Amino acid sequence: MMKASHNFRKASAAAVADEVLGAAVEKTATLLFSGRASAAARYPGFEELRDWGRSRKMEVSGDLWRFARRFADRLEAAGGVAHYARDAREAVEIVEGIARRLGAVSAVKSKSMTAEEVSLNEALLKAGVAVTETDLGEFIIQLAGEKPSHIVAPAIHKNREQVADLFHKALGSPPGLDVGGLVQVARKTLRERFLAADIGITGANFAVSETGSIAIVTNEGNGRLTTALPPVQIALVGIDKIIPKLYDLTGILTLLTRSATGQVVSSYVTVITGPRREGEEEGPRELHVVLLDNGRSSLAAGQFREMLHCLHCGACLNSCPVYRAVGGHAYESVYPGPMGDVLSPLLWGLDAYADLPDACTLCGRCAEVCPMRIPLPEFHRRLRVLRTDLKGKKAAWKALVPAILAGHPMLYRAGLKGMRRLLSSGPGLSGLLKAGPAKAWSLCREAPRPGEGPDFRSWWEQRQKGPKGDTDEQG
Amino acid sequence: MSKAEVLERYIRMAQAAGTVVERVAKAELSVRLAALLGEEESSKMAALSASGWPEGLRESVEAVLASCGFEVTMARKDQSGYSWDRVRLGAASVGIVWCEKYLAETGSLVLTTGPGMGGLASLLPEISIVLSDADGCLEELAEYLHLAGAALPARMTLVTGPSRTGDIEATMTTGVHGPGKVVHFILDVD
Amino acid sequence: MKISLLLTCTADLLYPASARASVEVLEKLGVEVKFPRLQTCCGQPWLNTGNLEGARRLALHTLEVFEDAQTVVAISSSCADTVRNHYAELFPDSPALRDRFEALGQRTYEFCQFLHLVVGIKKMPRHPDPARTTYHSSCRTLRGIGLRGVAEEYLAQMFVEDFVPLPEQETCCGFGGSFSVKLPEVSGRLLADKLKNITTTGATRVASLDLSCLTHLSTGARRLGLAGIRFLHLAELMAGALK
Repeated sequence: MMKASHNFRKASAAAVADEVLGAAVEKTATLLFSGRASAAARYPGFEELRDWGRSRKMEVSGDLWRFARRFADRLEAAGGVAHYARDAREAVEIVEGIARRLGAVSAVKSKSMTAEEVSLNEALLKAGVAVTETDLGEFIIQLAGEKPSHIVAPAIHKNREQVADLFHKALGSPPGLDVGGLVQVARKTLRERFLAADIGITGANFAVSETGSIAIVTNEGNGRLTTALPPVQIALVGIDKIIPKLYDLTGILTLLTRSATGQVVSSYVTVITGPRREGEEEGPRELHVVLLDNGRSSLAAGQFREMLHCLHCGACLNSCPVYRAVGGHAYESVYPGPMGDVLSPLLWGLDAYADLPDACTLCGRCAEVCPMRIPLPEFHRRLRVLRTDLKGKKAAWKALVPAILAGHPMLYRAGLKGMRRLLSSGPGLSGLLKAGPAKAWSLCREAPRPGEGPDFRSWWEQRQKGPKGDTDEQG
Repeated sequence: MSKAEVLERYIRMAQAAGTVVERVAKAELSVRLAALLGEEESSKMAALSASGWPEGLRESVEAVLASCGFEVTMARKDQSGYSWDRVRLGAASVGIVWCEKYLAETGSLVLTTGPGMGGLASLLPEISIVLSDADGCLEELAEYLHLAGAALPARMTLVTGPSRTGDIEATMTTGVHGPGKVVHFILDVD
Repeated sequence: MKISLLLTCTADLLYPASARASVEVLEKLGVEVKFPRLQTCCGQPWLNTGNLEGARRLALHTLEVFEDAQTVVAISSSCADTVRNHYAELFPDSPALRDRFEALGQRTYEFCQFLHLVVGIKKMPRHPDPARTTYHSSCRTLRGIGLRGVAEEYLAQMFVEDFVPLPEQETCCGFGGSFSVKLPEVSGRLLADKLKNITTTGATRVASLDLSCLTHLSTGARRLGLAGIRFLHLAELMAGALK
């Protein structure tokens, strides 16, 4: 996935103007956000659990491939097949190869952001495999020909009327169904696809290095169906999803579900250790796990290492004022919101996503809710620094000159005096507001007006000199 | 926490997650099960797990089903192992399985795979009925993992309440893929 | 007790009354105020736009001006946050400088934080001129310097039932420094939401500890013609109450 030139200002301006979108996103994000807040508050020691979770992930990100190889060994010992993919292209080729060997024509898929990351559906479609998304939200946007707009609630931007209309047109269901009716239509349609599918495609919420197990967490049960019915399962797993021990699952699951939706636990947590065993009547006969790097090991070696700790819970999205105002599509990336602002430029290049580090007011709310304590605002700042470095010496010098002036007390005071005069005068100002940042400022705000009375420095001098002092020197 | 307190906690958490929990004396099970089956407007087909049951319990469940007019489908065993009749399984509106262990901390059932364990019976039908012993209740997942040790099944699923979705306007709706109703009978030792 | 006032360039340019009031309140409460005249800007704009060379220059200048100060009190939260929490990390390769910046950070406070933590002010008198008042908590006050509930408590003492908490007070007002001009449409939406919350309180005064937010809110309010609402630094209300 690659964006030639993403313009977040343009995309976000359009999104802000869309009121249906705004209301839909606000409603779900608010619900998830408050759910997370009360779930965290109700769990004694949640803060300590966050520290513990971070330390477990630090261990893994400190030696990613050692944990990944151990996972692969254990998986194979349990009868599964491990594959390594250095990048998106390799991952897609591996999956295509398996599908071709099987002569597969249909696949069901349980929501996977990693599969979105490598554009797996598009590739499989070209290879003649029809992929059906089975998470209801993903199914909706697949029917609509759209992309997910939230990593946990992919159809957050659609309201019931829009979904009813879509089902009516695409599936022939009666018009104007309520939510319960729509869910039944999806159940019936998707059940047939589950039963007919040649392959089940999943991601994994966690991959346990110690046992070679993968864990899939869903509320709908589509993860369980995808891994129970089709004869072959392919799991696409970013190597950042590894946790060291099976026991780690206990705490990390708590962090994930409470942060994502505020649930104590999701309805279904399936831990898969190898394919179907002898004599068993369910589960895939072949289990393939594709371990995807796609830039992760180089991330692990640098200053953004902690991004690999992300659980994809979506709490940062729900807490982010920018995400809530614009929704996911404006980011034009698989990963929206604060985690996406950071991940998209790191995975696909800062030149492709040069605007995203600015999609942040540095308000700090995301860091407050991130279960892994990823310093997201700080990472936005660091990306801005990298971007400055990329722009070269001339741009750096242009930014430095005002700092040099501002660091010189006399020049600083003279500059301030000039600005005060400008801001106090009507005509001078209106000229200023027609260009550059001043124009952007004046889009929704008037120019600032210096407060009444003497400026502070003059007042202070006056006071120091006492009531009879003279006032010729202005600060 | 005492065993009784752990069980109480399980019931509280499972109910909060939307599971219907009923404690019954073993001798009462047939009557209660029949009452539940009688309430449901459904196809008269029930899917049952073939293995994993305590001595004689499956047979008494089958008897109740028969008395309520239900046909029963189970995974059948041949030389290659167990397999379902997919048509009959697909027609089942009720699935009944035995569950060895369940967890108080989250209100979760622990369902594991194994020959004839019939996981699909608790997944595909609209109504999932799960039976357990009162002493199968554990405090938390860590305890279960400790007990299981290295002997992990191919698939272990924690089931906590019905299948649900909030994907349309965050309106919680049950039964999207799996059962819309989960009933857990906890059998007290008489 | 002696403090050195970190005026901040925003107050220097736009908010003389807030700065004057801060001095008056501090003095009234027995604090001796010094004003190092050579101070300029703390460098936050450069820090937040990824121009570290500029940020370092201004950090070094600020260190030079305030290194001898016993205690530094800044009258805007985001500047206090910059000095307290971000200076040291600008100099990863110089342990000696890091130490000096960390020491400076540890003795730098935001105005209200200083009154609460260091002077130990527990009570504010009733304000002689009551009017419905609300409080914009600001992201840097809450999550930068970690001050929650303190200003609200003082306001409740000064205004009793005329103090009305702001709905959704933890949400950003959309200023965000360069954000306000880089993404003005989104910034404007957040601003409008915040102003809507403010108008629902019926307040005619909005207090804050962050002058940047005040600038954003007041200029936005002026654009919408909300003439009846005044935006003030908390110190200005305190000065009135302590008179």
